[in-house]
Amino acid sequence: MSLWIRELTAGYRRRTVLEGIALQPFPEGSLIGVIGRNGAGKSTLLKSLAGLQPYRGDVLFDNQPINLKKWGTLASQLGYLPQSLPQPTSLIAYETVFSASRAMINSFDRAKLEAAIERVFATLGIRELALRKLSELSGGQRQMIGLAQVLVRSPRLLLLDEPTSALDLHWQLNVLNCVRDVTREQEATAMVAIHDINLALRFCDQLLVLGQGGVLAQGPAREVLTPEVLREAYGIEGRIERCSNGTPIVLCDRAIEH
Amino acid sequence: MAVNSTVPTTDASDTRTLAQHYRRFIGWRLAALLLLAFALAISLLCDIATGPASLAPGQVLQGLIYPEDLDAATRVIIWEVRLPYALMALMVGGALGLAGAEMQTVLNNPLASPFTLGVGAAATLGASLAIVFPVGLFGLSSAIMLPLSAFVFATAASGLILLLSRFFGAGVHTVVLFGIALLFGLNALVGLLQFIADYDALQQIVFWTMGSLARASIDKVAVVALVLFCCLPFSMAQSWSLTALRSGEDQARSLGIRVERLRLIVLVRVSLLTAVALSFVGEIGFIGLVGPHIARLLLGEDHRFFLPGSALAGALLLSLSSIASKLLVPGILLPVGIVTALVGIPLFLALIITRGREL
Repeated sequence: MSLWIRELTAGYRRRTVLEGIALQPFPEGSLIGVIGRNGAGKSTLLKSLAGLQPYRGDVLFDNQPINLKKWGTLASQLGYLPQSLPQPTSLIAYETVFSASRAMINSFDRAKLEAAIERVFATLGIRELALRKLSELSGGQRQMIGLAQVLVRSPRLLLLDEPTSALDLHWQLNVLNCVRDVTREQEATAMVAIHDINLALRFCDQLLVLGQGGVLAQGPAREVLTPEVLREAYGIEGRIERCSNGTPIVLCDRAIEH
Repeated sequence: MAVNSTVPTTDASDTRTLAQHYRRFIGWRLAALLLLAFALAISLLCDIATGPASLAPGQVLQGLIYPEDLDAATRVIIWEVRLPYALMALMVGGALGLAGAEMQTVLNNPLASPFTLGVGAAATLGASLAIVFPVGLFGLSSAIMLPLSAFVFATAASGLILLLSRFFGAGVHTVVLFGIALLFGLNALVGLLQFIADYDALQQIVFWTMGSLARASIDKVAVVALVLFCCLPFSMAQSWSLTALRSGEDQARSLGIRVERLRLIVLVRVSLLTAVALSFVGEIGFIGLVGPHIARLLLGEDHRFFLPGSALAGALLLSLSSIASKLLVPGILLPVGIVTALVGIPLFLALIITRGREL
């Protein structure tokens, strides 16, 4: 099993966000969608797994505990995309990706790295942005460059915090397709925090629904969502219908007053 | 917010790889660095040539290569008077330019400079104390006590900022707020000293705040050069991390960069560079702010080029200011601290007008 989380508690100095959550192990090659309301703990979970936030409990990746003190070696296996976009500086997009990889590793094969960057820019369909400054790019374009920074290292565990938040529909589909391909081809595990439930249903193998400091539901994407889960997780009344191709789709009827 | 660009920078029919395209940028940047270094060499010669006893740049060059061919008076002028003065401009400018560049990166603030955190004000307070209370400690003369006191206070101010940052977290806003609070406190103390100082002491304090290269000697140049050339390799060793930090703190953290630790190390380096540079020449404030901006416009923000470029741009600015300080009012040597802004602003404005969109 690739990723195993047991009794994980995490939060901030005066506020616990996640309290003792335990998850069924996720198999290698899974694309896991993390959904829930604002403040439910999606980003906290990803940051904790990425070693960027202290936590209590056990997180095992490939049967090895993720140890915050060994972040240097961990970083080469993890690819974490933060929620914030890369800043609009005068760095060229290509060198943003190049320098990110160079900052992580002391010894490197230049030809290999250049080939990896070439491949990632082509895969994401953003080759034409490579020689432009970040300050000349839109927020969505910078989000794509941020994703390229992560993918270029071919990490075995991808932790993507709202990777489609600044993207239009075309690029949302493109990015999630790309992430799904990466997980399948490289047998990587990806955990993606996402607000669009229908995108999550379409692309993710597993869904993790967070709320009230814990896990409300976990399971195969096509089975885990029910009207009760929607009510508890989002405070809405909704239905789960099926498209003509069998993909479940969530229809929201109304928000429940609190 | 479409991702597709309407102005592609790489042609679809172009078979060159992105790396090959990118190497063109590297070539331009190397050329720009060489150009800056060449301009600096010319400026150094002109600075030595300029003064009451006018010398031709060619004569200066020959005098620097073959000092034994010079007559005694010219040798003294070139080697003992003007060379330390001109070299001090280079070293102090370089130190402040490098310190400003690193400061702007780790504080993620284009308005940051070595003066942002009150290091400059602390140096002034130290110097003012030595002027108002001219006490010789351990048999040291007042000529040594003044820069020593400035250095000690600047270092102490940096230490205080670092200590507070260590206790309360070295976030950008925390560091800047501590620095600003310290700056205002120190300025108030300098004001108090000016209030109680007698006429002569007040004049000396005011002169110190104007910044002057006239206090230069070859020993002092050697000290500043030693610190600059010791710090530069360490700065360059962290250039990849600093470049990655420009994408954002979260991005840098996600790469395994310990941002707080990096910031503290850089602040120690900046404090050392600033304290040593200012202790010998007084307040010269403009260089650390504008030098990095000039380098950014010419070289971008890949810190392999940006850091040495900022040091060169800072050195060039102060060297040009030094020349101007001797030429603006014939027969009078103006304090270089006043001239830096007068020389730097037109140069900076010219760059903004021509390449301002890239700022």
